[in-house]
Amino acid sequence: MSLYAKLAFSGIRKNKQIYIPFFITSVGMAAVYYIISSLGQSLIRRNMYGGRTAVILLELGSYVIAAFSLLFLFYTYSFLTRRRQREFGLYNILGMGKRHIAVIMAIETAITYAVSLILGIAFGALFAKLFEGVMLDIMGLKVGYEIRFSWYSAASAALVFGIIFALILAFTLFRIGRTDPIELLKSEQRGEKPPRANPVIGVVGVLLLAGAYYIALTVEQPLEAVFLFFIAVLMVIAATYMLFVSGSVLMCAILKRRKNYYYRESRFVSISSMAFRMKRNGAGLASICILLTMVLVTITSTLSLYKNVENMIDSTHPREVNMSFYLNPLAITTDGYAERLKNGAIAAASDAGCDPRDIISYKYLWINTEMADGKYEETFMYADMKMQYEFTFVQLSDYNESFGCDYTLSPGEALVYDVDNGDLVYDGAGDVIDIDTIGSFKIVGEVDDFEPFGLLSGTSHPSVVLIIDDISGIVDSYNHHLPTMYVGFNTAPGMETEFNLSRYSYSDYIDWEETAEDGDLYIYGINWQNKTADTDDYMSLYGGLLFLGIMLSGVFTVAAVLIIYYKQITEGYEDRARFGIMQKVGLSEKQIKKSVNAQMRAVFIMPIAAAAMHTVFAMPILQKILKQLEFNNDALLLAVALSSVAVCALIYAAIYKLTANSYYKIVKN
Amino acid sequence: MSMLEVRHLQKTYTSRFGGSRVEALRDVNFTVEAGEFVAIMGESGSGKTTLLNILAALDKPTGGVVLLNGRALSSLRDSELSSFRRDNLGFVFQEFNLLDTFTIEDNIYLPLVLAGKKYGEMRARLDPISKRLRIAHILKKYPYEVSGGEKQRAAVARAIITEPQILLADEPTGALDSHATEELLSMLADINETGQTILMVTHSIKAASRAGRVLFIRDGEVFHQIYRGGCTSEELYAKISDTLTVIAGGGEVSE
Repeated sequence: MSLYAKLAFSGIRKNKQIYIPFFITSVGMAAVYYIISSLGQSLIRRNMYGGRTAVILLELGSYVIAAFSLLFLFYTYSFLTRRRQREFGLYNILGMGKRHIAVIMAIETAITYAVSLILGIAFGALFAKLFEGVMLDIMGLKVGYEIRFSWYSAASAALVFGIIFALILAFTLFRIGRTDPIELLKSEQRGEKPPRANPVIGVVGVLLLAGAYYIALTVEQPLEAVFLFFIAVLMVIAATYMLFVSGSVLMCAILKRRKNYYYRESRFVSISSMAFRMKRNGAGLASICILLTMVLVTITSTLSLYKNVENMIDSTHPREVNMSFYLNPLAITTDGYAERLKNGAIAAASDAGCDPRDIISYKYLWINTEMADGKYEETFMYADMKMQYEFTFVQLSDYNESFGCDYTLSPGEALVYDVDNGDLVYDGAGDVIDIDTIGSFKIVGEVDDFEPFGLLSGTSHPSVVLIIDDISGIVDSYNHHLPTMYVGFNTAPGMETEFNLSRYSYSDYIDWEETAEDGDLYIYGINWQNKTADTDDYMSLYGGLLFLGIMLSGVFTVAAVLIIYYKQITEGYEDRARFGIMQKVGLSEKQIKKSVNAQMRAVFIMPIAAAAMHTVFAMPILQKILKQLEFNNDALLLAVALSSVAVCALIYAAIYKLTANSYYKIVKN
Repeated sequence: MSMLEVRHLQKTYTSRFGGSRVEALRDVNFTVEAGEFVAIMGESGSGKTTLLNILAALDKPTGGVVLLNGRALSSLRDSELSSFRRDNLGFVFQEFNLLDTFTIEDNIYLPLVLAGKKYGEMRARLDPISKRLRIAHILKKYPYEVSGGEKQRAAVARAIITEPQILLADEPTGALDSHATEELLSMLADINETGQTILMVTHSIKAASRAGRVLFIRDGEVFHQIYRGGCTSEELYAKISDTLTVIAGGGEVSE
């Protein structure tokens, strides 16, 4: 073995206290990358229904892991090189040129890369099956294990981590190249400048945070919410860094100025070291805080969506099988056509062996409006930031028949059903709703047993159903949206997905080519939805998201832990001398322990407390965004968020206990 | 009664697995009276630092006894040690041992804060000391911003602000240039004039020549001592120098 290789190996061995966690990090990252990538590969091989969205998600997930690995390995590696500056300086003084040190570093990096990659892929392959099981279970896909070793994933891991390590090496060499030997030798013991807080940064941080929270609390429109959420996230990240780096030092400076508060045995040592600690660690703690916030937000939103699938499907799918026919307006006005269509569809389902039951059916007309001059006016600008109002007109006779009622209405009267935010449209009976080109309707009562199909609640703009005497009258005056006929039924158990109405199937029952008086087809199109199939679809989508959320959160949490570990280690060594001095001056071991604990606790609590606060403030805006994904269950969101915070805090506390001990051990020696 | 009595002090280090034994102090005996300025000299490895650590209650002897104002250090419980050190002893180290996270002022306050003193009282105590040690102008600075001599003067201020029974100095001039050394030694002598008892370990003849009495340690025993008597520092310097020559030669000294 050449001298260089020997030095490289001994370099790794001698620095194992910091090298081991780095190895764990890089092996873990490579394993996670391999697992996510190979899960995607196995889903591609299965080529199954509902798996395609998950494939895309996993692909995206692997990109996130790659990017994060780059950042994180860079960060942890910089700890390594910083601790080893002295060693390099010594080599240099012993007559080794920078070129030789570069060779040693290159060999070290190559060893690290090879070990990380091989172990990473080995562990990844080992655990891939377990993760596949978890993923399939979460996605509700009832299929067997199929994962096998993926050369594609292994090769892509080799490439991605090869690039990462090459960049790390380049950066390390750049750093070595720029420093001179004397400096290398001394770099660890250079006197440190006292922290000077920049009040401007602190104030800007507070303002940014307040601004971001204000946005999160006040945003109204879901469409705005996505964009503003992005802005708010950037503001919160910037503010977190500013406040942790500058705000905390500023805080210490303010406390120091209060002499009678500061000069107390319990605070004196803690406050002054805290200022230094925050100056050095502010950025690291801010990173931890942001990672934790990401974990909390990711888990909260993915778990909420996942838990809400059933709820959401129930509210948008009144029955097991749901059909809607987009009709020629003449189909509504022609006597008996709608009835014939409905009977045909039911008969087709019967003969397919589905035994349709709980049948409901109604004709309806949907329009989207904006308020103008005290009237509702039709609009097609869905993305408009102006408040929009949705109206759905339903024929009274259909309603009575489907829901077993016997209301009577005169022309110009309407029963109203509130889909969402109806209070913005009407106050109660007696109100008149005036819609341009369609007419005005006096509300005579409210019903609450209507089951709308395809109408989304939670769009945040108001949506109401108006049940009126006869919709054929308004079909004529209105030409923009097609009148629609809805037919829905449940099936015999086990037959849920057996009936599949496509445009030209079941032509014995429905004459798709039948034309109306105007020579146009009666049926322009159909929309067919099956509750069971849709549930599977959504479970696969949101299950995939949740799975990925859990994977990424795991990685982020481990990252946070490792950052803390590195902090404790590096600080332990620096603080050791300091505590030695204090002991000589008369600080007892008990007082040292107390002071260490006070600082550790502050360092520990700050990121998780700030992360919890960010999450709480993110809730309103998150709720608006989730609404667009048909999520409308605020209680669930709150419960999930709170339990995520609690679980995260618990894990974090356990890890803190472990690492704080290792810190104290170093200090005590 | 002497302020400090050291009797038959013995310290033997045993390696962890009980193999080799090193005798750092064999049989050390001496006393220090209140108001004295005593220098302890000896070569590297003669046991100076071990002796100082035992006097500072940082280390425990394997035999013999140290009495401070008649009280045996060994009778102190572990929980009392810190406060005992704080209340009775002041320390000055070669490497200053100032905390870089504190300003000079806060470094000096440290032992008083630990003793639970009020800010007003600390302030009042610091004033005369900072004037005498000429560090009033650097109180708000951090250790990295001031010179070695200033750091050591700050360390002296920290040591005497508690008005200790005895000031223990371990090679206080070891890291200073000659000008700063001169200045510091004058200040120590000055402080001694006001009645402060000082015990200084050093191997600088120049430093020792400012003391009232010089003890020589060799092979873990007090080998010899010289009293200043009426000598000037220059004369004492010559005497110490002669003694050291004899010690280096391994012979006996007669007086």
